[in-house]
Amino acid sequence: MGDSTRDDSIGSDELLFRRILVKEGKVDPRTKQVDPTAFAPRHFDDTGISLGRAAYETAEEEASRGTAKSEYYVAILSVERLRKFGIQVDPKPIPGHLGHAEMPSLTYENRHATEGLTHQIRDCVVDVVGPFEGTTPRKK
Amino acid sequence: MKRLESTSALSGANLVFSRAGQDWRVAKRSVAWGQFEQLEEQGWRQEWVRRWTELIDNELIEWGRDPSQLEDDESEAPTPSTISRAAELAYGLRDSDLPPPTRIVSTGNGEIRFQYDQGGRFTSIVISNNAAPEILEFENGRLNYRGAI
Repeated sequence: MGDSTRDDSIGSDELLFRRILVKEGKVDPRTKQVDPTAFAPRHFDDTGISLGRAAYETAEEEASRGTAKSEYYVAILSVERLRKFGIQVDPKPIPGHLGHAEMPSLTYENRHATEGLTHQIRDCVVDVVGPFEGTTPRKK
Repeated sequence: MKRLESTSALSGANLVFSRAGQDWRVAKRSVAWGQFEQLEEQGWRQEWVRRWTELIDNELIEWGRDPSQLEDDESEAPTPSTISRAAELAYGLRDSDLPPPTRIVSTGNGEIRFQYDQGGRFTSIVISNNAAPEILEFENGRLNYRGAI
């Protein structure tokens, strides 16, 4: 991790995490079925929706990036399945989150045109774990 | 009048949306299909009312009590007005004998959606702060229709 010589490309055998706020009702707590809106871009998603790479962190660590006092499920996505749908995933390491990745085809600006894509992404979920607590102090 | 039939995840009975002019309207389930009495016998109507009430109580009323619980650094909560409009619509659909959605979600962009999730066929009723409720119909991930209710 953090090694500049490391090949940072995302392998098809990798798994990705998507954090989902429990209170929003997007995960059925009994069946763990996920609603497609869990993958909808939000106002700050200018370059794609954010994901975490399981190769770099645990699901609980991904959830802990959420806001303190909130609880989160973590949906686990298969890169292999995403690629079968032709969905691109790029590594986008940022300070403090080297396993950060993005789906550039889903941005806030094109959210209406790409809504169907969120249904395909939902089909790439292999598991849902949690809920876990967020630990990041609230900014606003 | 064209009818779009969907299968309720709860009941296996049919949910009907009717097209009037350019708009889809959520319509009362067709009695002509002879299913209403059968549903009554099977207790599905009571089950629908029970599920609607559960969704209204556990989601909409709970959210209305404290909308900030839907807000974090990445999610925008629906306004109290949006929650109130969603509750009014939910009561209206329940009292029109329409089947309950699979789930009610807060999208994180200030909207509330009633999601009828039937696998390949997916219907969303979208309630936002600044527009009339919309209905979206997807078939295998493809948007087939988007219009005002």
